[in-house]
Amino acid sequence: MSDGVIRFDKLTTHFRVKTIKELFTRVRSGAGLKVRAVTDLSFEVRRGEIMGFLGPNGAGKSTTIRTLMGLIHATSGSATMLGETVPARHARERVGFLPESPYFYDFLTAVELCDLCGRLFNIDAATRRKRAADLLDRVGLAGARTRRLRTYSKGMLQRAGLAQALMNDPEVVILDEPMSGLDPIGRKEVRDLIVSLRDAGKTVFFSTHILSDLELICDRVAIIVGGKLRDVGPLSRLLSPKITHTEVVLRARSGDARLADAAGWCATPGARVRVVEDEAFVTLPEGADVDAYLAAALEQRTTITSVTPRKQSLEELFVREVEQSGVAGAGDRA
Amino acid sequence: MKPLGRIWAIALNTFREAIRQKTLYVVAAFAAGVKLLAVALGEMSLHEEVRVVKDISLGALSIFGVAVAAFVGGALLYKEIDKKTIFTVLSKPVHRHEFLLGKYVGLGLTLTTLFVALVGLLAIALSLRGVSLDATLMKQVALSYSEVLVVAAIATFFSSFASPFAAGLFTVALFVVGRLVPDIVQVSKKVDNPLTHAALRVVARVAPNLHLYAVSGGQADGKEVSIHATFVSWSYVAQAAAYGLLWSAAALLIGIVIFRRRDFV
Repeated sequence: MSDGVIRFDKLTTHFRVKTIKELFTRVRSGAGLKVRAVTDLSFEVRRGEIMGFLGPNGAGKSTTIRTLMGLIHATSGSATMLGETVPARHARERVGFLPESPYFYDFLTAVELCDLCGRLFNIDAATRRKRAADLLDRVGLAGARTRRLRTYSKGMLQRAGLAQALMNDPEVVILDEPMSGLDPIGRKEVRDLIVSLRDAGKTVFFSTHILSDLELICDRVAIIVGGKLRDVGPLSRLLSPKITHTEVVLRARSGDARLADAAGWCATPGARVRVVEDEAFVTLPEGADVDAYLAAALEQRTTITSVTPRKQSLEELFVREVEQSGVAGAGDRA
Repeated sequence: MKPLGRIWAIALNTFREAIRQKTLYVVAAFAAGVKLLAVALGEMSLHEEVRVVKDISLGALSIFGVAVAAFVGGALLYKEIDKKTIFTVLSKPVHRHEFLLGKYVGLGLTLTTLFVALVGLLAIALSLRGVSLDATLMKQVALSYSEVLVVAAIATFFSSFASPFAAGLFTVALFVVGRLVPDIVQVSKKVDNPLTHAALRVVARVAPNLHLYAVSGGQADGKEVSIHATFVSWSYVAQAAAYGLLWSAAALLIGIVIFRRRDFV
């Protein structure tokens, strides 16, 4: 716990319902009048790492981040950013933030948005101009920099949001669902940008529910479900190194090869097979003798196309955490 | 200078929004239409052209100024919260009071622009009749401007917790009560019921005395005043402006206290 640039210590954020409709819904469903968005959250984000904050929709990711940014008051516990307790106004001078589903002043152009943000950081005019131009070029908006934001697609807004978040050349970058709304190319570009920020010595904390993004770039992951922290650590520790199953693809060498029986050639019970035309996709369970199975398959006049041992995926870990928590993702939000 | 820089950045952004969303143009065009009507009515009157132009133009200046202050001001914070644009600003090293003050200053800039445009039109309308903007007219313009800034502060206060419609409505209601303060005091002296008497006294004390800014045709500085004859002194205008400043400061201060406690979910 020595180099935490962001720390949550038993952070609890509950708030009152916003609308009468929500109030009635909660009363009818027997839920309390307060929304328990985040409860007893404790973990830290270390300097220079990319930390992913994973959770299903409504798990409390955005509430946690908004509490960190001083937009919501914590009910109890605390959160600190660069050593300062939130709302941490001074620390925010060294933090860049991209809100979820970026909502910006649509009457501004991207350059004007960056300029406004630069002004809020009290950055001088010449530096603001240079940084805005550099950042908009970096996020691929150089050609659209003078267009009003209301004419932007969601992906372009996300890029403009990333540019404004970096206007103060921050030490810490906090991104709430930065890949949401982006196409595969856009997501890759954002992932590359996040990695380049880490390479430049910055700390990145970002929330997402897109598992592949996390697996590709995160040093550590915190999993939140139903407002409670389920697990935190490097993916290598969270994910079991054990091989959970092996996938084998077989092709019939002659017409009498009985691919439909391929599951039965495995001595360990639990093997499954799916036959598509002249190919069989076999899943061997954990602990199966793969060598013996492959020998048996060759004897049955098949060709072995591929053999793939599978470890636990982040998706499986995530689904397990959600199932064990007993909530269907939405936590306490009625 | 740092807080002032942030307040100014938010103010300029608010002003830019008002200009680009074209709300202001619609109001200005409508007010200009009223002024044209004033010129037309003046032509139809019997040797009272200048009087009619002055009366209708100054009335339009006040009414449109108050309408913009009440309804644009009433939506000032709600729009930021509803559209979540507030996340971008408050996640920067900005105090919440700086945000609210920035929004108010931006609204003030918008109202100033409206006033400059409308007074310019008044000057043109008068110059066509060979009359120039004199000190009396400028005193009334200054009074109306002070009043509109008070109304804008009240609207900003209501917008810190109410929806735009409610904030606009509350502001207009308080404006009407404020204009009637001397009448409420008079009525309170005549009612027998002690409860009604006390209630009216409280209303007269709590509401801003906006009658100070619309004295033409009534009493001020201990004499009858009118923009067409003898009007108030500059000292009266300065005192009324100072009163408005105090009232605006109080309204904004309470608004800040409420706004600081809010969660932006």
